[in-house]
Amino acid sequence: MKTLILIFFASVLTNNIALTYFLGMCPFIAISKNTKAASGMGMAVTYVMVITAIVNYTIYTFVLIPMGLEYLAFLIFIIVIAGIVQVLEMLVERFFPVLYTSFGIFLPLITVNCAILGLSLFMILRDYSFLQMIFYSLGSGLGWWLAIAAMAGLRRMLMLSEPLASLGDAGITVILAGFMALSFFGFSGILPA
Amino acid sequence: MTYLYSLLVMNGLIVFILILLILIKRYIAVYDDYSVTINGDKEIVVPGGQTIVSSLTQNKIFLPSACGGKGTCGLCQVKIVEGLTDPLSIEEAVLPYKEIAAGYRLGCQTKVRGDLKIEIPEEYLSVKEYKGLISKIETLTHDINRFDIDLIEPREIEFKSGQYVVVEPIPGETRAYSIASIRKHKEKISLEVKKIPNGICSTYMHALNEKDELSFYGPYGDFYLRKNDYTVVCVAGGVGLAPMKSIIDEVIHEYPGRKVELYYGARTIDDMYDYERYISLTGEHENFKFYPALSEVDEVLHHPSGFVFDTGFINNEIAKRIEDGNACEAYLCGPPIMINFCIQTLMDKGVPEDRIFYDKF
Ligand SMILES: Cc1cc2nc3c(=O)[nH]c(=O)nc-3n(C[C@H](O)[C@H](O)[C@H](O)COP(=O)(O)OP(=O)(O)OC[C@H]3O[C@@H](n4cnc5c(N)ncnc54)[C@H](O)[C@@H]3O)c2cc1C
Ligand code: FES
Repeated sequence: MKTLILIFFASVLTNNIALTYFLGMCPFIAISKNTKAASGMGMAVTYVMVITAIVNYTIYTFVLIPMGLEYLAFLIFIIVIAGIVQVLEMLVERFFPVLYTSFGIFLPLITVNCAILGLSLFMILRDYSFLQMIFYSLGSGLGWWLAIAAMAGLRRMLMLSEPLASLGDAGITVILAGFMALSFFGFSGILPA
Repeated sequence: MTYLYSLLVMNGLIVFILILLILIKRYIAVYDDYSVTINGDKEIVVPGGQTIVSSLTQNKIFLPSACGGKGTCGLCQVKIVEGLTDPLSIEEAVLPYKEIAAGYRLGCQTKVRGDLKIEIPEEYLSVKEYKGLISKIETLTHDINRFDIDLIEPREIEFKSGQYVVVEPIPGETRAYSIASIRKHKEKISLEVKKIPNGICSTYMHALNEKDELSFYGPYGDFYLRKNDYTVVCVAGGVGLAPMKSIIDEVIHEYPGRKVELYYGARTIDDMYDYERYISLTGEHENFKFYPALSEVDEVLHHPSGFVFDTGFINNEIAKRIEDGNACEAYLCGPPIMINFCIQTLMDKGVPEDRIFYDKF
């Protein structure tokens, strides 16, 4: 139980997938202009992370390993992610129109979000058990959500300040992401090494 | 053996996902039919799950579009009276907050997920799909061509001076082009198209030949000549000259005594066309005035006819020439930046905001 909780908090805070690995940066920068959209994106990423991690884990453990085809993992993961996003989009649109409205165009965008693929690859690198994988993927999703929501909040504050014009919009966002990463370092104290 | 396995696994997975998708699409993600009531009287029944625009198109009601349903032009907006859902973030980006609150949505984004009552401008109901034959192509400048199109089916078009039609070179990609011919000729229209580097539709248009067929929808737009006595101020930037021809013609021939002025801006004289026509028109009609300006030329240019082409941006020309803005009504067409500057200048000159009409290209 303790390791599960550790894995969860590590992936939300100290090993935040957006702020320590800098994965999923394109939506992180592009969609953090507005808090509502950022939240929609964060939620979509979380859902997809958990579901793809479960499916990828199952395929990897029960098909690829027994057949000695681990080297296909990369390709298979990509295909699975694309397929799941499509299926999810169709189902969510049909049965949860309200949720679909808040996801908007973000769901299909996730197909090419490297944080999702990164998560599947990390989880096999680290040899997680099934339960550990669940906590890890849920934590990473929530961590990414937290990061983009916090970034959107910060960027709203930016409107009140006057950063260097030459930095542009994306420039100052990357610098902010750097500061956020540094401050997330501060969390490392809360977990035993 | 492992090679065979890997092939099997890869292909098996892909086939599995495909079958899953097809099954879901076929049996699970199916929608009921819903009724859409338009302007309170016309009711159509459409399969759910598709956008309002495609539902209407299937029923031969054509909403305008200049972006091909990408949710960027805002032309396809409809007012939803009953069955309103939350706005999508794309819609919030394009439509002003007040319109969202009043129930306006983008027809290309909002899907039919229940019975709807919508309102669209009445004239859209009379918009038709036209088929035409290109009878003549004229090179106007290095990047602007004029296409004369004889209508085949229906044989005649009724439009208001200044309106535009929509061309769909490939399904889903739609672009607006102003009608550059006069209203009296009902059996043909002209379009003037500027070639945009890598532009989908303008490249398609420039690749057409005489005797080719072209389909379009129309007419659309509330950019058209209003019936009153105000002095008509036409401001055109580049290919924005296209709709001015019919506006100017209508003022001259149907409103005796009404004044009309054309401010025409372009980079250099090589980017201008038809100016000879307007120079000679100033000689024929004392109520018509023509003020061309070239923005990337340092010296004032003297045309052989004695006519002067000023230097600078067209809004400076407006600032210089207009005396009583309150007696004017303005029609602007051209690039967005030009329009924004000119609107400001016109308002400084006293032209009331509700008498300024424009199409941003
Ligand atoms: C109401 C209305 C009336 C119009 N009337 C006319 C008309 O009479 N004649 C005419 O030629 N056009 C007119 N336009 C513009 C026209 O609809 C298209 O936008 C234009 O032809 C470009 O389409 P495209 O498919 O070639 O380019 P796209 O494939 O849409 O664009 C290709 C690239 O070019 C850029 N781009 C688009 N437009 C311009 C531009 N004007 N200058 C520089 N870069 C650009 C885009 O951002 C994009 O990156 C009108 C537009 C509107 C809304
Ligand atoms: S916004 Fe352009 S068609 Fe809908």
